[in-house]
Amino acid sequence: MIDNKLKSILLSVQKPARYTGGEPGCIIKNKEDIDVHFAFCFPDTYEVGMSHLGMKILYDAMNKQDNIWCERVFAPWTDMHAKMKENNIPLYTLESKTPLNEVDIIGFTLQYELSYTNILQVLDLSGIPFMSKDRNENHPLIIAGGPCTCNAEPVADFFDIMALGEGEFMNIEICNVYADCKKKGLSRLETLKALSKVEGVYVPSFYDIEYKEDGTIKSVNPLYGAPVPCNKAIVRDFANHPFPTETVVPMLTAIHNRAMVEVLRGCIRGCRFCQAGFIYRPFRERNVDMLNQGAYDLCKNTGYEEVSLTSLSTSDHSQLEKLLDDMEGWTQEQKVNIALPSLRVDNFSESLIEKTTKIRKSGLTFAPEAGTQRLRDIINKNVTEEEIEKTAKIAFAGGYTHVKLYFMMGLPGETMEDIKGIIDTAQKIIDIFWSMPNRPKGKPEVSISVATFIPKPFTPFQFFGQNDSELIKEKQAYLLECAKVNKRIKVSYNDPQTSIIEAVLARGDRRLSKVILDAYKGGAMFDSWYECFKYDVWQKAFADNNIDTAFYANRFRPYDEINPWDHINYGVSKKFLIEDYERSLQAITSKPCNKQCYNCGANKLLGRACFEYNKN
Amino acid sequence: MNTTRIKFQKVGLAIYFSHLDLQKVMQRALKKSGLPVWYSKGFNPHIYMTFTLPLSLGQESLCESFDFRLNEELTEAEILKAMEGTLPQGIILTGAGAPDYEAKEIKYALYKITLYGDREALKKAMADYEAAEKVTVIKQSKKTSKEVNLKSEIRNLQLTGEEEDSVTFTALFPAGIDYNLNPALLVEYFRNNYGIDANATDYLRQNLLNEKLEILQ
Repeated sequence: MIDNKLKSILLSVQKPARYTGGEPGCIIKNKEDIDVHFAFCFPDTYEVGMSHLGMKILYDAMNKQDNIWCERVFAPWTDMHAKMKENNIPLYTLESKTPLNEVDIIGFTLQYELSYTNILQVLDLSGIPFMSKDRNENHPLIIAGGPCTCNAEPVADFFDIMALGEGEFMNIEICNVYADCKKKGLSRLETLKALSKVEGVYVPSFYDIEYKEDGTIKSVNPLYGAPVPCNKAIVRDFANHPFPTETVVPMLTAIHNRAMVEVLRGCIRGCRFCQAGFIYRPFRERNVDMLNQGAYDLCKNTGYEEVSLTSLSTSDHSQLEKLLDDMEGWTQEQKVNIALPSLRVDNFSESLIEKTTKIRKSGLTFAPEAGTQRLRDIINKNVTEEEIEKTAKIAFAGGYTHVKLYFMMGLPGETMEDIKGIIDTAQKIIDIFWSMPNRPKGKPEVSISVATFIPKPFTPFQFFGQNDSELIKEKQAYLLECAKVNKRIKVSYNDPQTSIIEAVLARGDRRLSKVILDAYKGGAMFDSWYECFKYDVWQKAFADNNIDTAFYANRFRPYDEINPWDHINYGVSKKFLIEDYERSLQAITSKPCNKQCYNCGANKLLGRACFEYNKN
Repeated sequence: MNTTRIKFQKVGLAIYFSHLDLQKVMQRALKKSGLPVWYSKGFNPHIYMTFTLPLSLGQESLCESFDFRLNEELTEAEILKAMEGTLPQGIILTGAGAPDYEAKEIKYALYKITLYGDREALKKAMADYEAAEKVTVIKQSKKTSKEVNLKSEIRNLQLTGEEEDSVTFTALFPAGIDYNLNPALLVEYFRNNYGIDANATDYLRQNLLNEKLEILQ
């Protein structure tokens, strides 16, 4: 399996266990017993990929099928990349060490735009042509899934198909249709035609894009009867849909090294900047008994000491308190810690903090997102000043001294007053600490992390032009100036250069695939890693292809312009997005989905209303 | 409360993760096993675990072990049964029960080492080493670096086999709580002076021995 040459290489790179597999919980099958050999690729390092719940869910779902073997593959870090190239070692799957070009299907999960060059790295190390049009029946089918497929037009030319939406059923159907086509000996084109009939499958080459002289899209013309719009797939009965109770447990410490159960999917909040909040609609919550039993089994089967109740907004599960009560007995007995990674400031209660910190205390993180009430109303982050203060009080009374706050800058309607508001908020929290007679020992610390806002498809802010880097730099400088008031306030923010690339790719079109390819050829890889990001390489790739980044990132997009993602349907309609953007311009908030329905359209995927509104 | 020793091999794929990772792997394995493991009292209860002798990444071993405590007395068969299916590939359990020797008794480790490269060059390296009066290398630790004479520390070096592209030998290296000599130091010496590929070397720790050179079982 691992010969002497590979062994020598593995022992010369950092963390060789990234490339060996063999973890407890990994699935080994016999190649003779299966119809479809699937390589699931997370195009980032092993530790990042192994922290990802989606991969665990699909690994489990596919491997439960006798005829499918799903293996894992990750992007080799730069040291391993160089060694593999130098020694002509093809990239292989972790379970069976099969070279990637010998599997049937390679499925990439696209979690963030800055991982796009690593898709090319993986294809390159596997000796597979980059462009879909250059591949034939002898090559694996290259498919994409994950949130970025809602507008993966910039990488459309690299993929044979894209799986839109949720993969629990769709991936299995794709495998079965593929197996059927393979048995019949169908051509690549005929196989793609058959696959295009699967719910959620988008075949980029079946859509011909015509552009206007000004660079915007003139029309999208479907071929071979491909659907317009192309709908995403969802799991309708999510409440009772099983989730993995056994997962691969890495020997290396992954970033999130703990058991994870997904308590709900979708989000009722409708924060206007948040792509996940719209593309994972409709909101569905899982049955509490199933969650409790599943969490128990998962901890027992993995040996993890911590279980995370994961979702976009865990405290919005209508029966969270019951779940925590049910879990209390066995988690204490088994010495398992419960983590709630995504709490909301507005419904964070004292009993919640008590239940989650009985065993171990960690830092506390909240996301007000904006520094003033006016701006929070614009972005529909329905959190008030009082709620932030109340939360800080509960946290301090609960023994925490360190509070971390997330904010964004470059939001629609933002002024310098809002930037100052970020520091004012942090200062207020510190004042609260000192004003409390029952404060914990020590000094308070407030870390504020400020990300540059990137407008994303399928959000009400998809029309908005991103602040250019000059303006962002000006705002960052002002933020630092304001932060001088108190040395207990620690400020961090991200590099505006990566935000530009992200913004261009997020709302880009197919003309960018050439740019990404040129960037990769110029040495761009692991762009989300500070130490690897090469802005000059990207700048050159844009220039060589006559691409103006401002056209994609900084320009306001009129409502009637055809966006590159308009022929894709993730549930929420463009009509709704326009209405909600209009509301934001007047700083009018939208209520959570369970209080009022704004007819976003996501319930059509469900085939029924998301909530029983007459119940209360 | 019963102190229990689990004996295991660390071979094949398991050589690629470190001693620190191994500790966490074993902790999770014990948790998964459902065995009545004793936890330390206090604010942060944890499994009390001590490893007999750490093993470097990249080396195989047939004689690894660690101690932990059980709240009940269990037979070897019961313990091994409970541990089934909890471990990564390449960690193979070979026994469980009351500890039969103390870690401080360990004085030597018997290694079987295979060097890869041109056979004649490898044989010359070995012959030169055997003929030398003194072979000094620099031993680095976290704080200090000092010179050691390998000839006076490594004992019973014996050539045991040769192939087209390799030679194999066994030798005793100082090991234990007080003093350790990693066999990689000898291999590095060969690499620096004879250009062999040190990373391709096979290391197999076969036995641990006491001061009288008796095998500790």
